[in-house]
Amino acid sequence: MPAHTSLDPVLLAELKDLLADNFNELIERYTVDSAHRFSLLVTAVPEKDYKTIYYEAHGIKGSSRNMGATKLAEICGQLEAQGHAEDGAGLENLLSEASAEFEVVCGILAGERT
Amino acid sequence: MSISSSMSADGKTLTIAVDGRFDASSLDEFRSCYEGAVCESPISFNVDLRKAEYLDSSALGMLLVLRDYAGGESATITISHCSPEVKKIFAISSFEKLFTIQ
Amino acid sequence: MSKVSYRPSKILIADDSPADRLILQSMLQRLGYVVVLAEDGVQAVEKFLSEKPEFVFLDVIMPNMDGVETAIQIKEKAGDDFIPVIYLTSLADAPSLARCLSAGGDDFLSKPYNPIVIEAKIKAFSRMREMNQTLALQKNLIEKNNRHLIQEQNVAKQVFDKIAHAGSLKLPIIRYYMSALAVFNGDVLLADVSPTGSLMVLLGDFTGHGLPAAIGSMPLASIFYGMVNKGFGMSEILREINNRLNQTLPMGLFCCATCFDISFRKQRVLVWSGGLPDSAIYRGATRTFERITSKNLPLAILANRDFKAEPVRFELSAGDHILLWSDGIQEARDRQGKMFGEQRLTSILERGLEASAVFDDIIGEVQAHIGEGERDDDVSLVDITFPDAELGAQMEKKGSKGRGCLQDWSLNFRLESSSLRVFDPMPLLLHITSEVPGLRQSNSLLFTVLSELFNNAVEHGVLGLQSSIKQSAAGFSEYYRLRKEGLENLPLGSWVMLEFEHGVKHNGGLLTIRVRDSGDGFHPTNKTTSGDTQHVYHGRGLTLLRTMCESLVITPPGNCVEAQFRWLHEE
Repeated sequence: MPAHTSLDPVLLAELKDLLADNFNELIERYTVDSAHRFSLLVTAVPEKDYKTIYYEAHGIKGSSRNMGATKLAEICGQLEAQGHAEDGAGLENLLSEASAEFEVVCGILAGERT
Repeated sequence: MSISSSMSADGKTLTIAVDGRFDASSLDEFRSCYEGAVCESPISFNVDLRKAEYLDSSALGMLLVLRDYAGGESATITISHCSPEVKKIFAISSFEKLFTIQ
Repeated sequence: MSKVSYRPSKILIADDSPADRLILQSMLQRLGYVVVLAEDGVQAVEKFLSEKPEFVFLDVIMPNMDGVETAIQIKEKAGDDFIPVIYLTSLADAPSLARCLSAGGDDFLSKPYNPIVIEAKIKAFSRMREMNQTLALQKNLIEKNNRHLIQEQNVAKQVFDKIAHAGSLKLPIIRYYMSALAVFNGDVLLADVSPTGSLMVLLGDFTGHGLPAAIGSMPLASIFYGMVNKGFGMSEILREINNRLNQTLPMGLFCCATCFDISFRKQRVLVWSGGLPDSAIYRGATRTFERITSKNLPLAILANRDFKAEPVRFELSAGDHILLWSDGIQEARDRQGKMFGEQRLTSILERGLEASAVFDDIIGEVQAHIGEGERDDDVSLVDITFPDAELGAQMEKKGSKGRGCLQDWSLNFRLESSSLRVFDPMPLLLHITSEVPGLRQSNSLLFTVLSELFNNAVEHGVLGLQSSIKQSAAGFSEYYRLRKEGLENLPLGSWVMLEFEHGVKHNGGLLTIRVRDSGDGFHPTNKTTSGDTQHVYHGRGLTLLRTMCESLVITPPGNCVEAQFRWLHEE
């Protein structure tokens, strides 16, 4: 059940209740903003641009936590920490892992649209 | 009022207090203070000059008239709180023999 | 105090993540707040200034200006107003969190956001904000009151200085040191030369400091200078000051004082001391001190009938000094709280120094003793040099110069019928003689003299009444009835003329009073020789006049009487 590991169903229900008519707007904002940050990371990782890595991974981590995308937030937290520590080991793998998980989250969210 | 009077609680002593000037200008006021007083039982008088600053020979006459009214020889009149100047005037006129000067 | 609202009405969110912004915005709106949004730090500061939110949520990592810098700017712009700043963060490392807080942020909110946590934080910080606003209001109020108080004290001080420093503290023979604890000094030093040439000095120490002490100083100084200027003696001045202070000061507020009346000509000083420490007379010839000990209660404690203003007399000669001080000298404390003490003072006095060195040593050693410590009492020290004859004569002149008081003068005063009928000249005449410094003390004797002279002229001269009417008590009343009637029907052409001549003499003055009238004259019968005085209501006036006046001359036919009244300065 990918929905259970990738996206916290309780949190998602609460957000749906809180945002009501704006829920689709939230999904739109999250996916667009995160997709934009991923595109920046895709450039930054091969260039070892740690500042951007740190900054954008932190951004995705924060909003993913708010969305209940706990697993994605954890992977991005790892990226962020390495960016901060300027540690280049295994960044490409982490990024592809994060991108894959983002795809999963986006898929689930698309299904949650009201 | 430059002159006021009050009776003691036992009704035996009438105190007449003079404030400021004690001369012929206060003659009527002074006399009316004691003429109203009942004189059945022997009554004593106290003329309080604590606040009397100025005094002339007409005041001496007024005190003598009071003494006569109060029974002459048998009168008991005390003149109290006299300043040194006032005492001097009484001394010149030998008033100590007629009044108790304090 | 105005009521401070418990809830912020407007909240600013600054976050570059559009999804996070939307979530927090939705939560806050659901909780009932108005929300203002910013996408970066620069926008956040702009919105803070334009929208005036009362609560701020700041993302730490934002483009253009990060959350920490934004917090610094917002806090700075808020000034004394406490604006809670809560960081929105998922940062986990301690150094970053510490940096956030030290920059002025107040707390963190971690993701994912929880509405219950958010509401609790808003409430907690709103309470803090409320306390802060109450404090700020109180602080403003205190500052305002304090400014107001200082302003009032300064105005009062100007009035006080005008009154307290009206005298002759600048005389070359007076040297003094006075420290001030507050705007107003609890000690007050007054000095002036009286028209009789005496230097009058008063050192007073009111209980307390500042305004309460100054309030007492005002009547003290104004009575002192007013009466010294008019030539009143020390006893009268002290009695008046005591009376006024006793009537006006609240219980527990009183004035320790020492008063000197220094006569340069008589080479003596009269001292009255109540409650102040010993003062001392320094003998120039032997460089030794004689102590003058206070024997009286301070001013303002006793009602006037119990108050004794009897001075002690000391002889002085050129080169002697009078030294007086307030208890601030002995009670000056060092940092450990130890007092300067009587012994230290005595040891300085016993050193056999020159007078000026004594003064310098006392001040120097007291200041060294206090050091940087806080003074807790006013410290005053006064040194008066007793001058040689030449300087003494110069000092004396300061008293009589330009004070506008009567010295040598004459006056002719004629009352015509219309005035005689209704006018009582005694208050006016006494008012004039009161303008002679020193003669005022004899006012009550002078009243008797003037009253006898004037009434003789009116009754026996103008009205022609015979004293013999006053043979009986009834006659006494009749006499005054006739006097009243006579004055009411006084024919035109009657008059009484009073002529005065006054000259200042050694130690006092001589007043010559001549009274004439329009009557035919009267024959002063010698006082009844009978020893039976009790029935005689007349004949005392002339006796009184003869006793009180230096001379009394009745010029035949008896319508001109001349009396010479000599008066002396009070010793």
